[in-house]
Amino acid sequence: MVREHIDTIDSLMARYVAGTLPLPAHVLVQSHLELREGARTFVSDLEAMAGDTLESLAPAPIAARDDLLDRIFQSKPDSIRLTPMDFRTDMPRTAPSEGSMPLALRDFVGFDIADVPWRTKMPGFKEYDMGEIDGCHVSMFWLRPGRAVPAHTHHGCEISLVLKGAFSDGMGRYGPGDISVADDDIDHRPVAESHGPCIGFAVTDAPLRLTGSFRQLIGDLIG
Amino acid sequence: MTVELNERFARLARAVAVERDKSAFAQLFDYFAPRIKSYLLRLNMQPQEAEELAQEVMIVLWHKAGLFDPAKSSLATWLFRVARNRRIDALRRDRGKDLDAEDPSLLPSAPEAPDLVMDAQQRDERVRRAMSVLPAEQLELVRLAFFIGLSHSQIAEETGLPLGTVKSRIRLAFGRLKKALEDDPRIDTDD
Repeated sequence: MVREHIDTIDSLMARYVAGTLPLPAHVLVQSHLELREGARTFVSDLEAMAGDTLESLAPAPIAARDDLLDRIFQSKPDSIRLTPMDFRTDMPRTAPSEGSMPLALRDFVGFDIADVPWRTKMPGFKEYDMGEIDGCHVSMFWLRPGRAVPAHTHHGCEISLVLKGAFSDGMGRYGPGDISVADDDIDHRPVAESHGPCIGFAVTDAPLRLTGSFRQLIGDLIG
Repeated sequence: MTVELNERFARLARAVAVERDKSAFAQLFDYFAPRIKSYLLRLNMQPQEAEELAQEVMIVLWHKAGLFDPAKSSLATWLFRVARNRRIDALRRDRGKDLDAEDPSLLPSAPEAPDLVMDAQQRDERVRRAMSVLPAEQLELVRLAFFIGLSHSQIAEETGLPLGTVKSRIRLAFGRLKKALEDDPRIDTDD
């Protein structure tokens, strides 16, 4: 089981590098990389392999090469949008301070941890439901110490990033920065640890995906 | 990916940045633009769109070559990142979403934590050694799955292998690749 889990996280990282994750899963990995410096080395290795793969591809002819070159030489630099991710694996911003969200996640969610508009789902279990984004169901969760999440109603694969506190399930223990991957087959009944609330970000394959999207299901990771 | 080629590309990128050298740029264009287009075509982009996006990437290189740091990555890796990120942006625009606003505090030279700094050449050599562990057909599967980003079923269709075989071979090959990387620990440079 543990070995399977590691494989799945590896595929998650590789699909992040390839840029083929649905947007919320992409943000989840980016946030993980902000929290976990150690994971960046592996991702940087994967990016070097991707660069090598780019070079290995059979070139596709460019139709009007001279025209294109002319257009490039005449182009204005002000139209160029660059993102920090063009330069490096992680975000070149200050590391999140204790109790605050990774910046990639804060940009995506629109709130810092203290300002999340939680709604109580049941005693000891609060949720901020962001709805469906890019074919995924996206939410943040807050678990009272010792609270177990009741049997999941989702279908498909769920990935969660722990931001604060920790939870355990049949697979292992997850602390801040850890990613848990679970699908229907896995005994996934997270229980928050007793010493403090557990807060996290969860992305689930939506039950009904938009047709025509060529992004892959998160569930493909489990393969 | 050879050291000589990487060094040549780094010199050409520098000539583009410092001297606005058009012929240096044309050499980089002739090598990279058709490969970036090829990468995008593999991802099912239409030829016209793929060419436009490849052009966008090359425009970045023409104007921003000075931001490329050969100590951090090869030019191929940098351009791969730019192409990948442009493609993600294009997909988001298509969906009418603009969820990730551009970061105005773009500081490409922000210092990396010292323990993360590894000379790009060392990284590339290490990665090349790890990839050489895999037989050609296994490496091809890993490339298709992880770096081109094809789904398992697309790969099964393309290779004619049963889906289950594709899945298990990819898992096995990627596991070997990771092990080879782990067994060849990086050596930090003194920056």
